[in-house]
Amino acid sequence: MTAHTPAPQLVILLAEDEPADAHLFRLALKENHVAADVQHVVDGREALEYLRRQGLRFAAAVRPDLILLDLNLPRMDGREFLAAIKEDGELREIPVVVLSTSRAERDVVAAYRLGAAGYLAKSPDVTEFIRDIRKLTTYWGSVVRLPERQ
Amino acid sequence: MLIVTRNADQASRARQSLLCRMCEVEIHAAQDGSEARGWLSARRDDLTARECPDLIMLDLGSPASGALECLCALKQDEALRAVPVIVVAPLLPDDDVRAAYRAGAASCLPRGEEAEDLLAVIDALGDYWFGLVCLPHDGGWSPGRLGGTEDRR
Repeated sequence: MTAHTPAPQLVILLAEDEPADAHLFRLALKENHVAADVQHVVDGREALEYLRRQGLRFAAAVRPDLILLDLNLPRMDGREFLAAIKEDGELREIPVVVLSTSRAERDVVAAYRLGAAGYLAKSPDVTEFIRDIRKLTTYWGSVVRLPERQ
Repeated sequence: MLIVTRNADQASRARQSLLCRMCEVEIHAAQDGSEARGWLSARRDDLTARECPDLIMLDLGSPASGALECLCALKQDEALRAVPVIVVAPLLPDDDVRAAYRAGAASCLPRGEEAEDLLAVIDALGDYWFGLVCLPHDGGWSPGRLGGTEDRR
């Protein structure tokens, strides 16, 4: 008999400034029975501080397996954050998936050019959004091989 | 979609698998990184939205395939860097997984050695890349790609 080893819990850094959208994301995880560890930051600068463990608040921050990024963030927007992380030798290997209400081709292309590992157009329909989050977490939590956490 | 693999049979299997999922995907195959770059270079002048692949799958199964070098070259090419590149490989050590992400891989998928294992990878890849996210040349979400699956009906 072999011992069953549960899959390690996915650690997700959610960069989202809208409290309602962050709440909806957590709700989607709950509805899909996904036991992810979600760390929430509200702008690009705070996301970088988290990842670089800057300041007392983030001194013990857990390195995420995946970053979910809203494009329209205050202080440092999603595009600036994406460019910064992909130029950072320590952080560039962390996959970043963009979550956006925009479906404009220029936004999609720009995100991929900056190194996004996916671009999810947020559905206004809650049921569809929950289903999309199930697919997204299945892919990144069970299908993809991620770098081992350091 | 451009598939770079030593195993010529894989492209045909991938096409069948995606067709079964009602994904209207045109598949081109190259045997190694060099051939892939040649194929892309030959179309360089025609790399419009219609000609440019939406997605590239690189099979790192053969060390000689030059797939990682191909990945680096693609990500340094202004005309192609927006195209997501998926690395598929059996039993990669963590250092290689890390190297693939650092070089710009959009994701790294493990696969077994059997043909059926590849089909499972293609299914998972299709769910995400052709059934969920927007691709660079979709103009946003493209519901026309999917038919009879549960998604976006």
